[in-house]
Amino acid sequence: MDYLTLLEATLPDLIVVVALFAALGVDYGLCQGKSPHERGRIAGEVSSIGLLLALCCLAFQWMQGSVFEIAEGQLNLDATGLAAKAIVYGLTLAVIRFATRHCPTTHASEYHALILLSALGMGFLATTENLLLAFVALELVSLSLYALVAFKTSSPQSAEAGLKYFAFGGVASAFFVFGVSYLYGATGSLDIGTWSDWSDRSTLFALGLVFVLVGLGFKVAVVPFHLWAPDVYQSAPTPVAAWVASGSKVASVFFLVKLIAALPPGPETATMIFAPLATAAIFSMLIGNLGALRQSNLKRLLAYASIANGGYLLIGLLAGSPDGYAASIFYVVVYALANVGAFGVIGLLSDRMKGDGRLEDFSGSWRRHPGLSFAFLLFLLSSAGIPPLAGFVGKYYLFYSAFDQVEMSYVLGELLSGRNGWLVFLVCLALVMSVISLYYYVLALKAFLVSEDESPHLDDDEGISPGIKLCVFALALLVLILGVYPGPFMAFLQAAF
Amino acid sequence: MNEEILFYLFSTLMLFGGSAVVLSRNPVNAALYMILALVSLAVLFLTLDAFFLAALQVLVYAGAVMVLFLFVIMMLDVDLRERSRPNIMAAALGLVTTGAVVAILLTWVGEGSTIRPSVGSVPTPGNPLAFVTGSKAFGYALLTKYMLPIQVAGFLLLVAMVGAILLGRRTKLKSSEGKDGS
Repeated sequence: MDYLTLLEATLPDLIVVVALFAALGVDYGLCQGKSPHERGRIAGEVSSIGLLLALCCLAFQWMQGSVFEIAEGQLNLDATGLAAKAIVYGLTLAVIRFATRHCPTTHASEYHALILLSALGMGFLATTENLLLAFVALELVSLSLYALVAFKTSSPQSAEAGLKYFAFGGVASAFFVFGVSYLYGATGSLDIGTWSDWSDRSTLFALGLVFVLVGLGFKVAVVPFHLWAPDVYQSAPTPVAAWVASGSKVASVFFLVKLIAALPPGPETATMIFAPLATAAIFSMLIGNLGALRQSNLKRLLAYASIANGGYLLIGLLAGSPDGYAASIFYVVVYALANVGAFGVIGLLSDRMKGDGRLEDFSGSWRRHPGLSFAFLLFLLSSAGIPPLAGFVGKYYLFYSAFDQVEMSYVLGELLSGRNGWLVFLVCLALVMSVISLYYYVLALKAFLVSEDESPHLDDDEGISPGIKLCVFALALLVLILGVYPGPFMAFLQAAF
Repeated sequence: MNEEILFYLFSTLMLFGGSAVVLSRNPVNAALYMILALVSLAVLFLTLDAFFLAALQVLVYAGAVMVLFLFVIMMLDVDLRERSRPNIMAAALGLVTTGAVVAILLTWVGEGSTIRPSVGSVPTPGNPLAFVTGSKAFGYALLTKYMLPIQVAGFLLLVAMVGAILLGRRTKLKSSEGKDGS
């Protein structure tokens, strides 16, 4: 590997690095006399410009058809890799726009720099096939997110959420690196791309794999590693909650899918992790959806919904087919778009008035912000899986890929035994749970669209700039387009496996 | 044969140190036991001919990191009484999990498979492992093959620094905000 290739391959990341140092430097050097709000705005502009340049650079590499592979699968930047990175940076751009409007403390430039640093880690995590780089990138993501979650220094809840996230995350990282050491011992390679031509499946390999899955399960917030999610989503600054729900999840799922897809072929491998993953999926759907029913805080409600969504996307992995892997990625991308949008709207409507996101706080939003409320309607209906929005298509692909793997039989006993039985049960449960989820999503929408505003003094429209509104509408449009016309994106993802 | 005796001696010491870290009530004692575990591990590296790794282990972990640990423990002045109530549920769950992992590993030993040597880096007289021969080969590997992870680890340190400064300023900020409010 020569340095020039490395430089060329990581050019978009380097632009992000320059942007984050520029955001810090401009703030420290030129903006000392300015008001915190102004400084936040400048840091946000610098970060956004950097991300836009990085996205342009990615588009240029994509058009040139560049394929970069760094030794031992450390980076695998083919068309899918570049797209994964572009998705992560695109989400970052949206989060940065939301974060610019309202910084919880006076440290605006560090706020943006930490978001960019975690984006950097997510970019590497989504494109690597090397366990070592994956661990370092995962740690980069986690550490920045711990600091970001605890960023609201004036709020004890934020500190508590940060500590909870840190304690869980530290244990999960320890599991991950321990698992990596076992996998390295069993296979002799850090490159997961070499697993397929390796036939000897030892118990050590299975154990290592389970440990690595624990580490990733924490990031995706599947049961039983979900306990941090409600507190973090509720108490973190709202743009950070959006970021935890979107970027971190997308990057982890990209790596998770690669890991599962790289498993050596054969029925033994499938059974090795099938039962643990299926159990996690079942309990995630149950606890996520039933937990969400009881919430009166909108952010907490979305946190439980995200646990449930973690359960849904495991179904695609369990299907174990290229279609299933592609469906999982499609679903998580769509989910992330809708969630960034939803949290963005929540942040726009509630951060200024010091609300902590209770459902009543949003009553009558329809009258004050018809556009934003309509976008919010689209985001939530997409998450609930209402056609023609993207969430519906995502769920359809997921469930179809699982049913596709069921070996059809007219004997009920055969249909419901072993792997078949698991898949049939999972899909049925997911369908029932999707119906249940409609209740709490509609409950949230009721607050927005139907309830009359009883506190007219909260009217506060001046702070929402057209740029941020444009960002929300762009996300809503994407959710709509991916729902109406999902074919090309799905075909692109399917081509990767 | 001699190496085997050394292995059993120091792995026993390491296991003893490791369990003592978890079991001892006093955090300072726990930290000292951890040094024992880490130094025993360094000796195990020595028996594998990984001299450079052993030196790093002693210098970085047993030396620098543990001094920081002790420093923080003494600064924070941890309340000992709070630790003296063990959580039975957590202990049981931990024991079950550990037992399961040990059982799985024993199955693996029973299977008779072995650890695979790293692809392309089986130590031979002409081509020893990078971390065995010394700092030069080690550094060479870090700056060529593992360039990218090293760079990312650099950003990891940057995040740790920024995060620590931000969160460390908490008390000062909070008190000043309180003054503003009153």
